[in-house]
Amino acid sequence: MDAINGLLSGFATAITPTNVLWLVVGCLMGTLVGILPGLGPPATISILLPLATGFDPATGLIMMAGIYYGAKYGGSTTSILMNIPGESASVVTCLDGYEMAKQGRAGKALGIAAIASFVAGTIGVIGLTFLAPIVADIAVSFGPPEYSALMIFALLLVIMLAGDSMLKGFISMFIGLFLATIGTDLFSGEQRFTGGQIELAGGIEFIALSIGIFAIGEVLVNIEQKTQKPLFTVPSKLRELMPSGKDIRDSSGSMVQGGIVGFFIGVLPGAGSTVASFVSYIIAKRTSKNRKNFGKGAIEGVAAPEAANNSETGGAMIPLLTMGIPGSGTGAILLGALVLYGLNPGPLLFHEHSDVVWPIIASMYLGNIALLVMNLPMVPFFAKLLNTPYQVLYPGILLVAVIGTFSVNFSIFDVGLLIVFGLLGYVMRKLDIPAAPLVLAFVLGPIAENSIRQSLLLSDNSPMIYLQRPISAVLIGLAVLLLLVLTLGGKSRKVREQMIDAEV
Amino acid sequence: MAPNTEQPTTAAVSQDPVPDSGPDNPPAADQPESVAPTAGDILRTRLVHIALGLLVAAVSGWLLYRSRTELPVYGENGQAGAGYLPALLALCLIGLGLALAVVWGFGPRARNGEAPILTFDRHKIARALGVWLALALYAALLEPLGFTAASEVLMLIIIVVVERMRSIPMIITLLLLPPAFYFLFQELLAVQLPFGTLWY
Repeated sequence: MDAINGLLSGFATAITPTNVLWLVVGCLMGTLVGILPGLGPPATISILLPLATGFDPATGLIMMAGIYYGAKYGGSTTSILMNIPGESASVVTCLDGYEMAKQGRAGKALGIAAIASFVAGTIGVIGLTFLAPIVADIAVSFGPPEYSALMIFALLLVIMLAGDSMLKGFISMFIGLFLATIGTDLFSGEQRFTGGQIELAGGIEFIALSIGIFAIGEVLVNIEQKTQKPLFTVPSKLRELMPSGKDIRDSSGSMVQGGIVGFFIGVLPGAGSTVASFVSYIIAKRTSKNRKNFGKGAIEGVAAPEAANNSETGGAMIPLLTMGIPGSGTGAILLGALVLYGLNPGPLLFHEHSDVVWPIIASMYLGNIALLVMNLPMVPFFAKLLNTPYQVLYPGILLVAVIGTFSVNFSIFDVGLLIVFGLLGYVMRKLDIPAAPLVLAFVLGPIAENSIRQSLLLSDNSPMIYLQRPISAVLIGLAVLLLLVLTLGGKSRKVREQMIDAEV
Repeated sequence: MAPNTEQPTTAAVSQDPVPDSGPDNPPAADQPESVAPTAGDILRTRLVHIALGLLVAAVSGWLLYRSRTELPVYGENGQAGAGYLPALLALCLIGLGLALAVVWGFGPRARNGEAPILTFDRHKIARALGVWLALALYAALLEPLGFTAASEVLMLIIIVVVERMRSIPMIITLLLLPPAFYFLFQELLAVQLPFGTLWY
């Protein structure tokens, strides 16, 4: 009951005209800046932080919640419309979101992304309100062996994005893992494959890689054929630009599933929204009746990752508020903002500063509502952008891609990498090699390597450490099971299909 | 890794499933019509995959050599060193590359033409590579010319060489894109763009 009373008092504090105004402003600015690839939620909040710190703590943090949710939604807009993932968590949204846009269903994809974000955000806030102490205890028991087991499991899940071409999926994944090793080895300080380039010391910039492979590669494939027409069909009726009742019904299961999965993965520091979004996508793909359409424009394929991406925020707030552990880049900036306001996150925060903490939690919920109310009417406008003739649209996409990449580190070198990865993306499409495993393995690779090497250091190089700890043992068991399903499941399904064919 | 489960996944594959038309699923503009693959297409697809597999294996072999010679595979206390993971990954890639070549060289589905066929049209590829080269030139010009001037060069290449545009409104729109983006990002959103060293 304390939680309910706290939440109600939080709402009472948060719902003032001033707070609501700044929440709406935050959502709007977050959406606008978040549309620019490269400026994901952490960068957007950093840019707009000085604005927010001018207010009292509750108002400032409420505005930041608005910016955060707005930036997340802005990221999904470019993923759906232009195949440009603004951040790693949006990569999975590209798979079906962009396919939907190509089929003239961009409005439905954008609409379902907003609705899924709202539903899952609600789940995340409910989880944060009622499960914070219990879940925080579980999260604390996650050490390097558990993380490495989780990452091994996640990397095997990546293969499930490979379509049916497992061999090419594995090649793509291993190339992604190899590219992730480029840069400075964190354990020894050795430079790996940098060729003496100082720009590569920190590794390959993710935005250059993902925008190059996804956006530039896609543009190069699309312009192979000279056309003066718009590349995408956009329905003229407003009703057809918005998700129908059937679309919402079809994706409701994925939204709830994504909300729950995203919340629990969000609690684990370091796992982040990327893992949340694609684990949720895989679960949706495996459990959906519509699984054959995944990767070809399935609406559940947009709902699940967007839901997970959003509810992850609620989960990530648990270690941040109860232990002062930021689970992501955004969490670290929010932690900085809390400290800036003189609030010290930790077990006593809820007792000592309940007047600020509960309004923050309430504002997360309000942020979701504001986002839904503001962005749904904008969906037809965004979808109509695709009516632009492709001859005009693609030079614009190229410029946005270059600006987005340059703006991360202000580096021309990164723009060069963007061009190189653009060619790689084009070649991969021409050779029918799936790009998603490469990009996701690139994100997960460093986390996996660091946690595996930490685990082996802890155990004196004995891999038995994974079996001695219950959580990692369960995860390793699941990974082995998944590997068996991946290798044997395909064969058994083929035999079953052949038997059905024979009967017919 | 069952090779015979390979199915098309992208538009580059001639057997790419075209979504059903309907109110919820209208056809995309300019969708290519699927044409039955010829024996030449099948042979070309096989050769491309065999070459790809061998290329992956060869590049990975070179990376394995570099990992073993330039980086310590093990640390002082026997723990995994900086070269351990790259060497392991390169080894896996060698195996996967060779497997791809073998599957497409000797696999029954590939030999019988049942595996997905890749399409390569010289003119289409040349057009795509032309834009890519323009983009590469643009990246090289960004530092000396700055964002706006280099972007105008890119737009001019697209207008004159790639698209051979005649529509005046379209030409004006494209030429106005760089200053519009400059105003939006540099002036309104305060996102720093390349300024250009030649102007100093």
